[in-house]
Amino acid sequence: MKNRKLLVVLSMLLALGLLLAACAPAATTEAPVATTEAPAAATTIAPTAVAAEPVTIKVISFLTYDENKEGAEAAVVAAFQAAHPEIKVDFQLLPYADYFTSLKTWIAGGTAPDVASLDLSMLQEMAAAGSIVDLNPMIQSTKYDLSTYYQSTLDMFANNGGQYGLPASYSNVVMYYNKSLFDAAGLPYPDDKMDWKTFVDTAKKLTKDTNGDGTIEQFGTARLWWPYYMLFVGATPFNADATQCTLTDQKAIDGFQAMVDLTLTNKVAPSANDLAAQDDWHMFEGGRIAMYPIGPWSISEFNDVIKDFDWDATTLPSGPTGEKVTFLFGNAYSVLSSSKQQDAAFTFMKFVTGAEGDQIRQDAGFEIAPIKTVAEGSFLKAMVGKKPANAKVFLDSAAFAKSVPTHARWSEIADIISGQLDSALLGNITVPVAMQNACDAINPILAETK
Amino acid sequence: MAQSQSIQQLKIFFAKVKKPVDKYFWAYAFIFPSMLIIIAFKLIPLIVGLGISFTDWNLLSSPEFIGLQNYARLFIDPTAPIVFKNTFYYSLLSVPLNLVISLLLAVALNQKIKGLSFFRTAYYIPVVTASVAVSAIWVWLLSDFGMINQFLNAIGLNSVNFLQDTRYALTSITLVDVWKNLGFNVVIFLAALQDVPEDLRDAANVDGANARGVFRHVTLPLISPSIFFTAVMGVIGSLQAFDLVFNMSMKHEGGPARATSTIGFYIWQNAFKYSRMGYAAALSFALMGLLLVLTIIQWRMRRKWVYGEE
Repeated sequence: MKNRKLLVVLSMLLALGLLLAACAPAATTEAPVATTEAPAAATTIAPTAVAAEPVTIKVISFLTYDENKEGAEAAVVAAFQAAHPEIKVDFQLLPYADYFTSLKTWIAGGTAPDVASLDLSMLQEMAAAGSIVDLNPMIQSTKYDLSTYYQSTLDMFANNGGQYGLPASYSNVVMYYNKSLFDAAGLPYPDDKMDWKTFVDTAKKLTKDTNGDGTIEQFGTARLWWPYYMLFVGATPFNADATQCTLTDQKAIDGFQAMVDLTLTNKVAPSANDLAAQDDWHMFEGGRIAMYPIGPWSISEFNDVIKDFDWDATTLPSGPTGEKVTFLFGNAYSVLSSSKQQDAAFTFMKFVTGAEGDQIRQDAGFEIAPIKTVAEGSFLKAMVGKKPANAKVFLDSAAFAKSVPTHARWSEIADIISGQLDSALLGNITVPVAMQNACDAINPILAETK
Repeated sequence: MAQSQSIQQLKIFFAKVKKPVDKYFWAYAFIFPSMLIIIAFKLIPLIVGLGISFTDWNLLSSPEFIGLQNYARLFIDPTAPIVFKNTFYYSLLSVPLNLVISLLLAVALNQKIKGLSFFRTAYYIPVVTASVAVSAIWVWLLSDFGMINQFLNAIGLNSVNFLQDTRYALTSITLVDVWKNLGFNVVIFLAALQDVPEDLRDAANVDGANARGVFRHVTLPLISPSIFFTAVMGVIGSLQAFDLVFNMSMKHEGGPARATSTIGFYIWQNAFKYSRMGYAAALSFALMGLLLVLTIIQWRMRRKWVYGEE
């Protein structure tokens, strides 16, 4: 009996020992360092066969992440590695979900990467917090030529005269249309001159209860992400110096009213409830949406999946006030302020956002390259024989593309607005009330961040 | 042989150590490993969290001390009263409902019926199923074209937007919570019911008590400590509700229009979405204070109704 008791205690101590060992990774990694010191000392006597010690930079990215296959970004990094053996890249491709949370946690824990891919709102938050560097000094000192990029894609990642990232990909929204549905209804195809009234009227004609059961099976269109309806009337969520919420201005109310009307009054776009059963992406694939606003990330899947009908693309219609606007989305690479290898990091940035990196990404069909020569050469060339036939529309749309407003607290402000718009879309409150509620919540946030 | 020899040596070693600490040594030896984990992953984060609640920290820049501003914010933040109200609703609906249904189920499952072990297992399966899976299935069932609405349509009723309508969304999620956690209480109650001595019931029967009387005056008082335990745990668990809200609310946003945002969900949003670590920590301590007060109240009240405590 006594022996057994002792055995229990011993096994418990062993388990505890293992636990402690697991808790202290620092101790285990220190040991090999100590052992490598001796050979390192020995090589200093021997003549140097190897070049200077390569610097290592840590890079994380969500670009081209795909849970099913290795993303093209790994090939971009491999190409860099071949061209620059003096810089060793410790590269990690991560899913977009939780990406920013992980990055922030690493920064807080002092294990931040040197370079990270960022989307627009992440970049603005990081820039406001001083976590990423202004690249202008390095651009000037290395005489890096920025004229190869589309200016609008550079502007997206600039703030107060600082250039906080170099664009790696961009996309804008165009309007796909299901030719077969237009043919069946005997309507002319939409073109880039379509105005808002014609758009809504056409959408009404294409919205149908095809099997007569009282619910709509075929929708004229689908709603875009809500900020679009603010941009397309020239409204903004707050004034220029971000001190006052301006959503209660008539312009903003009219814009959002047009959005709510699509679903509530005209019923030409699926409601949240319709979308819960099948999202608009799959509805379009299934031939249930006639005019679908979407970006180039849809090209590869739609070409694979859509077999039953013919489709093409044109620009988005102009807004109720006649302005023509589309969404501009983009992703950039940025250098972290905490990086001790900023020169190596910038060398990496120039390569992966430059013509060579862009070319690999573009060949893999990922969005559109911000480098003009790549976009105009490869994007259109790659689109030959694919749909939409009018692929040029993606490049043409860049002329009137606007990006989402930015603010250091944008994700919080966006949640407030979208929450209020949800209520308005359900018909629980009117648009002016929703905007009043939103401003009541947003103004304190603006006051606090000043 | 060598083995027993080394054991012998260890025995001598422990015999020496044993002298001053004696019987407490073993107690501490057994407590130590779990205490270590509690200190590393609960107590230290708790203290650090309290510190963070007095700062403005977005994870990116270094924390800035702002005193009690985060706690003051609780009273001016227009979203705070909504999430507290939602959480109370969640708790007030789920805890009593769970107790009543699971007690009835436990009584039923305590009978000698056919397929007993099947039923006992069946009710416990949702408890051990990942809440992500439970959520995914219920989102399907509750959707516009889901089985529940198809059933409602079949009997001539209109479809209900269970998860998209501000009036029903929170109730729907709360009821899924009740369904998921029912089995836990059933197991506790079953164990308690089986501890009720047969002779006490027999005695009551001899005295002329009917089945209801026996349940009301013999069984119920004897299992009241278990009811107390499940009630306390239920209140704590429901006030911390997060996972089902995250997984089932529209676009994972605690919507529509904040209708399903609970305190736990809002803490997560502030910490990891809005980068307001300080405010998230303050909200956590407010929730902890609330739980403490409610638990103390329950603890005091137990003298009034829990058998053996009066």
